[in-house]
Amino acid sequence: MSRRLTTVLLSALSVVAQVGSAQASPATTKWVDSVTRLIDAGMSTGQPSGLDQAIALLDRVLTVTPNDAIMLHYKGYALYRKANPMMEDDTKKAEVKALLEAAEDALETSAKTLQWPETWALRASVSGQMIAVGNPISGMVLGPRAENQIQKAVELGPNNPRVWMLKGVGSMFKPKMFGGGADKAEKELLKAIELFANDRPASPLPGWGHAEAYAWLGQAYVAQDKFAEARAAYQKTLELDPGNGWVTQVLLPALEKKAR
Amino acid sequence: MRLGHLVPARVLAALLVIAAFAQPLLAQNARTIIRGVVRSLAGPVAGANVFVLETLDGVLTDSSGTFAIQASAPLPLTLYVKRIGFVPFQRVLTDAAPVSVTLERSAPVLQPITVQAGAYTASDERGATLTPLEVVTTPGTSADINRAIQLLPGVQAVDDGTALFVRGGDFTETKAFLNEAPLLNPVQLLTPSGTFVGTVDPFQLDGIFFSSGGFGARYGDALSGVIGLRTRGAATRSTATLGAGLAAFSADGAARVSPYLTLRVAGNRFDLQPFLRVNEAARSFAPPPHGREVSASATVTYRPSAEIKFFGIDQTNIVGVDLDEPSFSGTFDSDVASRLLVTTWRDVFGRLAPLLSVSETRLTRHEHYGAFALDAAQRQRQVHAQLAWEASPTLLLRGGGEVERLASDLAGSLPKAAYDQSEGARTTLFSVDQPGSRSGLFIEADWRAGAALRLTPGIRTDRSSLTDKRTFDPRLSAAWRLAGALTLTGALGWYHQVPDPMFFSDSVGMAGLEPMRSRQAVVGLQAGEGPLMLRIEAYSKRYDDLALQTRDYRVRSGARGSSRGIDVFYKGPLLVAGIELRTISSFLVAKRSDPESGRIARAPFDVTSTHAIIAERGFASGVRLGVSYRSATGKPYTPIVGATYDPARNLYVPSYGAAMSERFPSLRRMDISISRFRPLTPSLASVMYASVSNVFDRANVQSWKYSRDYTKREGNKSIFNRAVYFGASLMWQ
Repeated sequence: MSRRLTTVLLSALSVVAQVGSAQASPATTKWVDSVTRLIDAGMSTGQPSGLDQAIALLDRVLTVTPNDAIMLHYKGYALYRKANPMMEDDTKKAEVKALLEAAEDALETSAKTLQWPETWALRASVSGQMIAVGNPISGMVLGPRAENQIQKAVELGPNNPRVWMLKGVGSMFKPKMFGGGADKAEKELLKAIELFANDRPASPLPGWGHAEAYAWLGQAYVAQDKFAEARAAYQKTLELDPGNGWVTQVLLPALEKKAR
Repeated sequence: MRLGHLVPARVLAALLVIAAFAQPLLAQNARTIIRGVVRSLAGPVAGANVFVLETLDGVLTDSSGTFAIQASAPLPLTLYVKRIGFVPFQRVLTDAAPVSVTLERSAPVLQPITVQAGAYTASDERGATLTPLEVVTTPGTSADINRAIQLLPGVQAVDDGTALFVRGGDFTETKAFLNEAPLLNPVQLLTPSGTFVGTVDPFQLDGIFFSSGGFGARYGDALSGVIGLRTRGAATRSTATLGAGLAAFSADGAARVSPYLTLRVAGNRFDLQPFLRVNEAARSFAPPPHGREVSASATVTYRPSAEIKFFGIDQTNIVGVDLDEPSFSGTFDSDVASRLLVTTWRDVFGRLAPLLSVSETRLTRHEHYGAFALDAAQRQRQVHAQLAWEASPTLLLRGGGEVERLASDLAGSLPKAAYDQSEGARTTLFSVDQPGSRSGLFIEADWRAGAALRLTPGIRTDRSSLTDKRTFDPRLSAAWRLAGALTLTGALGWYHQVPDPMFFSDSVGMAGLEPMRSRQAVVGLQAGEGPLMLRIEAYSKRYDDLALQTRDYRVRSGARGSSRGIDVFYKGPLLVAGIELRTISSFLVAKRSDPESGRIARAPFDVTSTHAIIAERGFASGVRLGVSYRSATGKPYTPIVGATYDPARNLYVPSYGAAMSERFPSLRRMDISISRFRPLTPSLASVMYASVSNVFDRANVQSWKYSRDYTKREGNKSIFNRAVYFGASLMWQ
């Protein structure tokens, strides 16, 4: 038993324990603002070109500063966003897998120096989505990995609304026997929405997700046949993001069909 | 003085108007339109990322490969074109003429093969066996690098110390390198409480490499295993940590002075006195173990691919252990100090990657116990240089060498007979001032001989002034990816090591010792990589020209040995969500010449089976819980079968049975650790931790305490009783 015990387990000390906000240069902030505008536009309209432009811009910045953890975070985020709408299309499985792998690469590298809770939450979501496009036994590894990653995200940001939103999304897709389910997702998404009320992050910190949280909450309600609540949640999304293509073109029509 | 007093008002107004318009006019003039088309041999390239490097203005090419960029700076500008599957294109533009870019297809990117026979890594890099976090959180390892490595396959649990007995080899046959500089092993004399070697604070490291055999030609003068440690480099931000535990205080800090310079300091002072008050000790100490460790580093990254790192560490360890043996009762006093200074430079120039390391290591050791006394001062200086050349995307050639000089100034006395350790016993006085130098050269290729095959052939040659012999060691390592994540590995090689400098002394050693030699063959299979991995390896080793010490401290040359075994390593999740599991099983048969008789017998470290299981789980509340359980066959020993009384010296002279014919009881131990990480503010966090080692307080006997006439014996308990430890750390970032 020696002095090492002091430094012990603490595990995390230098590893897990990196907290804090990024000290971004004005240049980084400028690029982040440009990137987030492109991503928001791409997501809101449902047009992938906006996301492609964002990814291209990130690629340019990272050509010059390849280790910029903030830009790596946003690259992972943009790739994750690009993969999202393609998940349902079986013919694009290989492309989705490549996007998710690239997202994980960027997020993993970012997380080595930048301990943003959102980075870990996104990694958890990416791991969860990889299960859908991976081989049948990949869930054995990726499931616990996603669980650990979301736990780490909660450790780093216990009051971060985006973490709770992605945690809720994860619970939506996790079978009840493994601790998921729509009812659990509902609680987590409501907590996220409560936290969004006081969420005022300054650039370059991530600031996305408020409108989206209601869209996911609506889906949690639909899964429990709470159609009126779902409709109200979708309307809330549209109040925050008028004309949101996902809600108007996909979620609301699906709700009306199911409620009939 | 106001400007209006010097310039008429009308003129001033006109100047202001001109100034107001001039700015956008100038900016407009600075804008440059760059047009062009991007093609490959197959036709237009759509979706290529075309941009100006200076301003990052850019666009994606359309379906016909054309682009138009409005750059916000005047010419000349650097145009950069990127597209997955093509080699990036770069050209300086000096005029606004349309640009035609032809992209070349890049060589197909081969899936990396990171698996190597016998090699385990701990880092954040892809393919690493363990992460740094897994190393420091392994229960029962006390965040000690060597203790964590002891829980990797191929390392036998021989005693309570931190030494690494690798695949049937002695601990002195495993060499540790820190930033390419060799760490000095203490002279080959055992301490009463186990074989301890110096280790380094894991929090100062960002990469650990361990090879249990079959390692490449880069490493010389090591017969069994190699550890490579890499200290942390440039920081992305300034950080500080303060820690306090039951037996120590520690502090470390990193200052990012500029984008090019990072300074780090770390200090640690430990004293086991309070720890021993809380926990029952198996031995009594006077004084209890205490000491300090101070390290500092400066990392200069004068460009992204380059790094110059200065690292220094100074450690002291002082302890007095009360011992009770048939011929003597008293205190074993030990005072060890070591210091390492190392400077490393690495850079990349196109396809060339040079590395240079210059180091000096000092070790002083003062030990006294009855008739035994040792005052040792060793100093080793080494220059190591290597150059890697990427001859093609599938072939990397690496060559280099090192020159080292070891000055050993050893003095003291050794008992003439091991059974008489008393202060008045007959002794051999020794005084060794034995400088030795060694030079080595190596060349190695890292060749992707196809999409699924990686070959690493190499050869090294060494010459030592102590043996006055040149050795040649050809080595080959191979990895063949059979399918998916299934990889077959193999390695074959010859290895040499110079015996301990003390063995060459006239007084206690002998001249003309040969370089010790081993031949290793390893074959293995690994399924998976990263978080889910199963690796099985079988090996066979043969040793020749070993220099061994008898129990009466005499040196025997020309000894032989062999070891064969199988190691199994599994890492993956348990079916219960969230639990990470590691299991290790090692099976070994090791034989060596008995130094007393010269006959082949069990090796003293022939621990035929070693098993360990480590389970860890993190919780959302920031709590992390770890449990480890390990068991091992007892190590062999030569029994004392009788004793005769010597009236002249008034003591009993033991007689021994067959060499290594009996074993100590098997070892079993369970350790538990728990920690809680808690963010306090956005830039401040705390970690509280506690651990219980040897939960069931098992004795784990590893030596016997005999009565004066050797008719009775009782087991000396392991120094690791059941013990509780706790502490906390504050981290600022």
